Amino acid sequence: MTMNNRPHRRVILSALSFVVCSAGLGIMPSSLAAVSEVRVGVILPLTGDKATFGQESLNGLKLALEKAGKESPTLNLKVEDTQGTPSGSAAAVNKLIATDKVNVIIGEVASSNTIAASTAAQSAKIPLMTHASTNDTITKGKDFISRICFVDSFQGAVMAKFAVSNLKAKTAAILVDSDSDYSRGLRDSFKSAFTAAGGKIADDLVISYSQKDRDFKTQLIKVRRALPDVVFIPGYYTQVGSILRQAKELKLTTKFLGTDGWDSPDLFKIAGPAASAGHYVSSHFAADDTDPRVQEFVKEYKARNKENPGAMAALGYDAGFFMRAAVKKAGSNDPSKIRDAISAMKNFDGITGTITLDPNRNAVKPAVIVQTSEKEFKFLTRVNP
Amino acid sequence: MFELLQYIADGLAVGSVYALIALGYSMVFGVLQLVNFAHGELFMIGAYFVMYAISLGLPWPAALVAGMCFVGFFAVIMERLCYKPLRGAGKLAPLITAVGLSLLLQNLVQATIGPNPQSYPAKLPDGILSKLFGWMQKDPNTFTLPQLPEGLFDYGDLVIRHRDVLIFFVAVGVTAGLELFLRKSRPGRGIRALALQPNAARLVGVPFNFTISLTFFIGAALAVAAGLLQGMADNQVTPFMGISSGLKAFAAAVLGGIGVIPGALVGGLVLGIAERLLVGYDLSTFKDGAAFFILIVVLLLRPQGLLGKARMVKV
Repeated sequence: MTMNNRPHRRVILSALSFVVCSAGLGIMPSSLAAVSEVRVGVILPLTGDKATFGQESLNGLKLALEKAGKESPTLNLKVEDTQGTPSGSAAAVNKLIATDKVNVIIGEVASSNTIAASTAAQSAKIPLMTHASTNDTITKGKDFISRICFVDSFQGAVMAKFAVSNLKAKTAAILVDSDSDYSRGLRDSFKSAFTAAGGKIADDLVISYSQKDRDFKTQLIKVRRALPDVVFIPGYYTQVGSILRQAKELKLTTKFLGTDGWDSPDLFKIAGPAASAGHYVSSHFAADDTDPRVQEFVKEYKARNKENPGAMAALGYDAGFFMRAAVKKAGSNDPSKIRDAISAMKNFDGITGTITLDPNRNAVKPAVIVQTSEKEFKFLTRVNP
Repeated sequence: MFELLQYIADGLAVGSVYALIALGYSMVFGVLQLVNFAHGELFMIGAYFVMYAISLGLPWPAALVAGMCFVGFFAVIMERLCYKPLRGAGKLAPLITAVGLSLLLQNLVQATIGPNPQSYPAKLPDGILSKLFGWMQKDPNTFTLPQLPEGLFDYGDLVIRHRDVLIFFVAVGVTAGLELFLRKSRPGRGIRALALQPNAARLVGVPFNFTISLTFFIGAALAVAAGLLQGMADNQVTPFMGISSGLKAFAAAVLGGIGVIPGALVGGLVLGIAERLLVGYDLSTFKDGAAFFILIVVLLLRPQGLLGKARMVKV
């Protein structure tokens, strides 16, 4: 009996599993076949010294897709960590295209990383849309690369004008992160706008530092000796936090101006409360903006992630809805059609502003200026292009 | 003129941290002719340990002593497990092991604590540590970072932070104390005897394994002190902070004459000053290469290092 029993049971089991499988398959294809499922590669710095940017972006993006729910078209995210480096970003894009066969890519945050990633995406003709990389050169000559954030020639000019007209600054110093395309681009745009508005930047007050630096005293002493009205630091929060901290130690009292690379809660952790307050930063979004749609987003984000969203979270959120809108318009998961739909997007109503892509696939949209308190950014004003 | 003085003063402070790490390289090399590439990771682990201990509410001197003991014994165990079995195996095998250990420790810390920079007050990673010590965790809103001495010596064109002076004197004091220990104390003489002539030292009764463990312990303890100073000064600790600091400290040790204790201090200070000069004259891109360029030049002219004595190598 027992000898007979076993094969018998096996037959029943396999029959059962067949039924289960086909039942499962019966549900699956209906959602696959009826609408085009779009595979969206996401490259973000989830670890490393820009990690809060990657985490926030992903949280925002996921919140957007969650809100959109199950209605078609479904965006399937394939997330890759770039470790915040150009080589990691290029590798991530290559993997997404070759192995995961993605139709479109969202990311990176840092401009140098997006530049490294965009070469591979462009040659494979997979559209890459960055939500946060602002360096001007990123989209130049690469028709599959686009962005939904403003560019640095705008951002640098916004801060230069703010320095001259609101802070009445006549002289400035610039601390440049020499490892970053973002920082070098902003140096140039700030310098030319500041000079054009009548300000003066001495050549020896354009001082460089490296992302590997930990001690910025030598650079800060130079600033301290010249004592310009403002110090512009287009850089990332990890180094900027240390710079602010050490500036406080050196009792350097000039005002610091920053850019969206500062926009992380870790800035305040690294710099410490005493060194954090009173600086002006250009960004994409402010969590205390009174716009009801912004407040709704802040509430939802906070409920989900237990912290206030920064600019990267807001951009990630906009990227999610923007990409859905583009895919819907394309009506297909064909990369070229998605590219065309992204490029043609006009007056997309995002929480970081109304987004219209210009002929070079750069977003034309407002910037906000925030002021730092001891532990957060406070909305100050909005500047339209 | 003032500018130059300023850069030299800044370089002394930066170089002092290199020197503290370099002492460990130098001692271990003196005794075992082994370049312990995992030494930079002892510095990193020390920095983490001390940051967590202080964040959990320990006063910093207690945290420092606890960190020194923890990392010291860690280094002793590391030596017993990884280097001791290879003692008869020539010089290459322990060297490769050291490189492997260095990578292993970096990645172990990255896997357990995470790859992102930690700053005060550091939150324990989820898991066993926070289960054990979670109750000690301070509220980040009320936590105040124990500060290194604040304040400045401000002479207009020349500005020196009090903490730079502190770090410098710690490095000089530690080097002098170590030299004194090696010359006057019994275990210290044991270390020197072992460095000079291992077999003869054993014959006259120097406890071989104990002395080697002691060497590793002291080197690790000094690295923890460097980790505390750097962690507090920068308010940032990462799993990979040991790589560049460790390599530069190694360069400093070789530059000064590896195996010679004051050489580590001199090497560290020279490197620190060179780096700050490059940053000061706006060549910061070359900063990290400078250490090794100087190293090559010095080794070409004086293969035994700045303070090293030329001696015949037994073949």
